Amino acid sequence: MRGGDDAVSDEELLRKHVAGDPDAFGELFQRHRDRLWAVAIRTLGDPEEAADALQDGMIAAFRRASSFRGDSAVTTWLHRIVVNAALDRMRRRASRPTTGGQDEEALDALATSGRPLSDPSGTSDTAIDVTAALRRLVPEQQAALVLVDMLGYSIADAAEVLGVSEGTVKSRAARGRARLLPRLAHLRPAAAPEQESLPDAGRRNQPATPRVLPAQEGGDETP
Amino acid sequence: MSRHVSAEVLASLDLDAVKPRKAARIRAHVSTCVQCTQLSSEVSAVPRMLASASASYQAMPENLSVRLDTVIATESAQRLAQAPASEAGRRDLPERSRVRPERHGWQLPGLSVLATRLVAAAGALVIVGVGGYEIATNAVDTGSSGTAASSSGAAALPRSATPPMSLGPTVHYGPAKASKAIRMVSSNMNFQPSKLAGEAIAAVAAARVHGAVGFNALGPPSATSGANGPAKIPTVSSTGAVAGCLDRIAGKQTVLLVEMAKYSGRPAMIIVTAANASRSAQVWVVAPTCSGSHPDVLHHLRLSRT
Repeated sequence: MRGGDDAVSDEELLRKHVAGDPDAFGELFQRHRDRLWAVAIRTLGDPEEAADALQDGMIAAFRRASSFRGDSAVTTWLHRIVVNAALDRMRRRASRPTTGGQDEEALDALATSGRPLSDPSGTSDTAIDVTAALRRLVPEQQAALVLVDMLGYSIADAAEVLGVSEGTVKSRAARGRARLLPRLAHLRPAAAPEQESLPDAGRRNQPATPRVLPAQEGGDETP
Repeated sequence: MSRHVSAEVLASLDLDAVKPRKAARIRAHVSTCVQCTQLSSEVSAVPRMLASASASYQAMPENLSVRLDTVIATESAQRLAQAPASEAGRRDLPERSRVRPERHGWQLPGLSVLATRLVAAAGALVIVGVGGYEIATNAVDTGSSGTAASSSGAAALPRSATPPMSLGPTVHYGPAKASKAIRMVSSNMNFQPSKLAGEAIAAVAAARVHGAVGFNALGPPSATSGANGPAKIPTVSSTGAVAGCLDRIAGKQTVLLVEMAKYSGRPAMIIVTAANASRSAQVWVVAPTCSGSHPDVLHHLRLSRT
């Protein structure tokens, strides 16, 4: 999460920006913009919303630079601002009446990637379904999965970016993965035949059934 | 342990979120339970599916990159006009609630309302062309006093655009002629005395987008001509003369803009300097023949501080 081996550190660029250097912030943002975009587009799914969130975050960072205390790396601070901007948009979107357009948004986000949707490997179809399913999670779970599973952040880095404990990140990611599972069942081609051979077929994705150890009671697995 | 394990617990197990003793009991159960083994396999596949989907997202679009450059340039230009002389850049810009525009009114294509108004307030217009974005400065008919802060914004957007800037040669100035550098630009902009501050700030923003204002203490620009080649700036006798002019005009201040243009209809060179610890930002209008020995100042404006 550090700024890499650039000659001038991120911290120094931010200090220069606060001191009035007109170019320092542009240089700093240039270093991290692709990564920040990757977070925004995966969190929001919709390119237009992601662009607005990234712009909101960038302006906020520009103006609030003097509030940076150095408690974390500059890049973590930048990520936190952009993620919060994205989460704000997700919450606002969630509060609006749904029009059933979330799947279409996910489709649009992927359709503009330049990859053919009918990729023989099936990758694109999978990506569309996974993205659509992801959009149905609560924002906090989405953000955790985007950082940890999609972008490969460590739990510790994700916790810093999200401003929560590592345990909270793990909890959100675990719940998010569990809730994605039934929505992605159709993407597991080998599952169906095996499923039929199991005595409890069809129940594995119903965690509320009495025989399944519920998540909230994970410690109560006495034989 | 006789009960089956939930997907969430299995996911927690994958994330090392289960205490060791409990994790060992769960694993022992899973190893003997076909159903839980299958479920564990499916749970473990979810992060792989997410990672696979992640690879399908597009990189940052070029138009967004340009848009963000524009916003940064505009923010920098706005800050330039508002920076206090004693402590440049330390003062925060107005609270977000004060500058956040309402979600209605005139909006330029491809640019958020906020950026549009900031740009408009500075007297710059972003035009979306067939091949992308171009920046052109305009005369904003706001009836303002000429400061960026007092322009009324989107409600008084200009009607016509001037051609975009062209990049010119790099001029080294300051001690030993090597410590600072600025890329000259040229345009057909006709700066007006009553709007000079706003137009100068807009020009700085536009020059930044064009890559002309890329130099800072990190090092000099790597090239002396842009993709479009150096601009024709026939009225400048030599970059040496311009360097002398900048030394004379700017002193210890950093130069943000050297634009060959017009001022009240006559050829002129517009020079904008950044605020530093002792001086506020300045706009100098000089004749194209400006040099170290003969600065030929036509107009001088200290950018207002609010």
